[in-house]
Order: sequence, then C-alpha cells, then structure tokens
Amino acid sequence: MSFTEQDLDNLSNLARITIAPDEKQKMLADMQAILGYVSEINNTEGARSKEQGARMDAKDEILLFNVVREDVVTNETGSNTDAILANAPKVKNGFVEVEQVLK
Amino acid sequence: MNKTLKQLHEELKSGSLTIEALVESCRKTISEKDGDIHALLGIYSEELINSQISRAKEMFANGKATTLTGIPIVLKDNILVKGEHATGGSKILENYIATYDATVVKKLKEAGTILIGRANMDEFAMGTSTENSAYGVTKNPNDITRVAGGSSGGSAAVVAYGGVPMALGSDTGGSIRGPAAFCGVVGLKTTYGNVSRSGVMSMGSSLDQIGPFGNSVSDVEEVYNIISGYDVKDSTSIPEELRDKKQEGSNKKVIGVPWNFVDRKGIDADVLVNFKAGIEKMKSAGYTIKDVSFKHLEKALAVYYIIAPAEVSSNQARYDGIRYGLSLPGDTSIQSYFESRTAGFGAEVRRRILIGTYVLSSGYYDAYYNKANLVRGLLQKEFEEVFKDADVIAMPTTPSPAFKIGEKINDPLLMYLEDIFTVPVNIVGVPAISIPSGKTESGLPLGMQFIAPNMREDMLFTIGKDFEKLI
Repeated sequence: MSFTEQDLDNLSNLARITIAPDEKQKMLADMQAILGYVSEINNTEGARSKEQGARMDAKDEILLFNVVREDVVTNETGSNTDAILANAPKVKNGFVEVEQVLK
Repeated sequence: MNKTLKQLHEELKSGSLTIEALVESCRKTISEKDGDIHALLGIYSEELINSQISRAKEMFANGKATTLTGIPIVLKDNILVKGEHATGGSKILENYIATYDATVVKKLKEAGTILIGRANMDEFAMGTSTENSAYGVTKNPNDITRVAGGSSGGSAAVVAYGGVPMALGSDTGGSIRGPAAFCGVVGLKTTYGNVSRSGVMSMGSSLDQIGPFGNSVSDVEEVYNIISGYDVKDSTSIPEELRDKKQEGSNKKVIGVPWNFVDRKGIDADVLVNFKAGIEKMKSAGYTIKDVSFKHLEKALAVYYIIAPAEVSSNQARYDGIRYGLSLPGDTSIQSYFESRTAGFGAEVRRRILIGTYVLSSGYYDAYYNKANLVRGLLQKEFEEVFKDADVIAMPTTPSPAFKIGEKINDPLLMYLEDIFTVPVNIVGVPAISIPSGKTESGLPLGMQFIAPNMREDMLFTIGKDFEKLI
C-alpha cells in the first residue's frame, strides 16, 4: 500500500480541509504509519468476503435497521429560532445568510 | 473531597452542611487548584448555579431530594447546557452557546444537582491525553509534568483534586476509563445505548457513550442511576422493556483474564506487576480466575482506528461555518468551508477526518471500513462466547501510567497504542469500569478495568466494590 502526496491532496479537497505546505510531510508520514497499522485487519482469519460484508442486513449477524420517530411537532413553531440564529455567523431577515451559490 | 455522595447527602439532609457552603467550598478548591491543573474551561453562569441551588433547596424542603440533590457536578465540554457555552475543546465552537439541554443535563437538573462548570477535553474527544484541546493541556493532579489522560482529562482531574465529587465524561475508545486510571478516580463506560447521547457532540456514533467519574464505585453507581434510561431522542437508546434488571448469575464470581493479550510487549512493568497483584487479591477474596483467550482481540485497535475516523469524518462535516461556529469568509461558500474548517480544527481532528475520508472512499471502502465491520462482528461473537465462561473480564485500564506532557504528542500511532486495553469495549458495546488499583513507586495511580456483558453494570458495581476494599 502506498499513500502518496497526491492522495493527501485529493483527500483534503474532499474533506474541505487545507493542509499547509509546511505540515504536509508530517501529515503524510502520520497517515502512512496509521494506514499501515490499520491495514493489518486484512489478515484476519474468518472475516467473510466483501460480498457478504456489503450485505449486512437482517439476515446477517449484525442487525442494522433504521430507527425513526413519529413525525409530530413537539414544540411551538419558531420557539427555538432566535436562539439558533444567535449562533449563526450571518443572519438576514430571520434567515442564515450565505455566499451566493449560483452566479 | 473524601466524603461519599451518600455522606454528603446525609449531611445536607440533616442540615449540618448547607448547599451554599458545599458549592462555595467546591468553588474555593477550584479557584485554588485549577490555575495549575487547568481541568476546567469555564464556570457556568451564576444564574444557572443559583437556580439549581434554589431547586435543590426546594427538593429538600418538600422531601423530594435524591442522593445527588445539592451536590456539585462538572460536565465534559461536549455536553450541552441550554444558554451556556459548549466548545468541545475546539476553536471552531469558541463562541457557541447551546440552544437546548442534553438529556443527561435534564436528568441532572431534575435530580437537583448543581452544575458547576465545563471540563477540558481533547478537541471533539479525539485524544488520549487532553493535549489536543485547543485551550491547553490538563495536567495530572498527581504530577503536573504529566498528562491527566484523555479525552475526558478535565473531568477526571477535577474529581481527583477535589474540586467536585462527581463529573460526566464521554467514552468512545477509553476516554473515561483512561483518564480515571491516570488520575486515580473511578470511571464508568456504560453499555452502548444505555445513557442517552442527545445533546452530546457526536464523535464516533457507533462507539460514543456517556458515563460518570467519582471517588468510589458507589458514587459512580449513584450518578449512573440518575443518567441511565431510555430516551426517544437517541435512536440507539435501549428500550425500557429490554432493560431487564437483576438477572441470574450476578452472584457468580468468575473473572476472565486474557493473559496472552495483557502480558504483552510494550506494557509497562509496573502496570503488569500491579495488575497481577490485583488479580491475586481477588483470588484470595474468593473469586475464581480463569484464563480466557480471544482470537481477534489484537485486531481491535486497528478496527477502532478505521471505524472511529470514518464516523468522525461524517460527524465533523456539520462544522461548515454556515449555521454556527467559526466562520471565515471565502470567495465562494466552498472556499469558506476550507477557510473555516482549516482554521477551526486542530491537527488531530484534521488527521482523523482525512483517515476517515480515506477509509470510506470508494476504492478503499471494502478493504478498510467493510473489513473493520466484519472483524467487529467477530469480536462481538467472541465476547459473547467468553462471557459464557466468565462473569466479567479483567484487564489493566492502560498499558502505562500517566506519561509526560509532550512525550507522545508528535507520534499519533504511539498515542493510539495507549488505548489498546480500552477500545475493545467500545468496539463490542459492553460496559466497563476503571477502578484505582494502587500506585507506582513514584506515586502515579494505576487502574484496574472490569468488563461486563451488555447492561450488566450491576455486576461491575458488585465486583468493583469488592475490589475497592482489597486495595
């Protein structure tokens, strides 16, 4: 496994995080060491094939299901708006204001 | 603070101690000691403290006081209290004010506890030493050149130096048990799904649990009794009907020890000697010690450092500088994400987001994330098997006593290895407790960890109280 500087650039772009040029070599070395260490799980005996892994549904040992609650209003409309907007960096007319998305 | 919660309760009830005097003595200790230790990031507003004092007095007056009524508590700073700051130890939330109470906070308020302040932590609970806090390291009260452990280092340290008799932390891979061991207090990681996480900043959602710190097993049990319970607001919460109370077998006394996992390269000699001595004491107190073996336990740390970063990378996506938190301008909104996240997150958080992004990327998903989930399944099965032969499993809490500040911070993998004995518990979901097991020759506390099957915190309390008496 080789984790390259190009991989690091791609990841930081995907994750919306900039790695400064002077941090890059250290981050690269850390990532290589960590990914090298965690790769050892690929040598696990008894772990099933990836096809089985992709189907971790009710038939499998790990039971995964969605938990949803009743879609009912539990508070008065607008009762939390002020407190929530107070944390927003920019607010306009009761809305969170952002940079124009489509130009 | 040498008194138990029950003793404090009796004194408050009889009137030999007033709530105001207790709160005042805690605040005095904090103001004397926290300058050196830096366990706290802030004290809650006088308004909140006073309103809880009034509530507690009322509860005593009308006979509705609980054991925790009137007793001060500190919360890890990833737990929301309405109208109060909550930073998660991060610069990105430096000015954030919580808009609602976490479920655990609601329960603590209803129980009449006095919420005193916010405890320091590794940024968003990522770390083993509290060195990743954006607000400076918490020092170990036993030796201020050493770390208090992490990520709930502030919660452990403030109880250890006597600032408050109880605190809450969160445990994703050992973040309650580790600092409890390093500081010399009791820390409980509860069963996954036992305590609601509504209103607690998410880190690794399939791993995170809230739990208490205290000076004794019975104190931790008192706090546990208040905070546990089903909550509709946490979709992973265990429904009441599945919370079978006392089950058969809680009087059995078989302790399983995975000797070949514990007696390993890299474990500190003092830790091993102390652990063996602790096990011997349990044996002489009538417990049966059984050697148990796991095939996949060595893989638990690798599984953890795939699953946790994967979940971190998605949970941290919410910090975008748009709705709340640090916001720096950019030419486009995407550019402003880059600016805000880069400036707001520290090195470890960024590192884990990148690892998580990598293991979830389409080319590597099967090799890492999927594989980790499969091995997780194997480990869960193995624990079930071992619990057929043993009532609890014992391991040291940490492979070393508290290390020096700065010793491991530049080598993340070395730091991760500190979690070797605690992460399997989070991978599997079961409860575990760390109890002080004595000290090294140089006076550093060590911790004994007991692990029980799901929802068997009661066994940890029973065995833990026995263990405490022997130390």
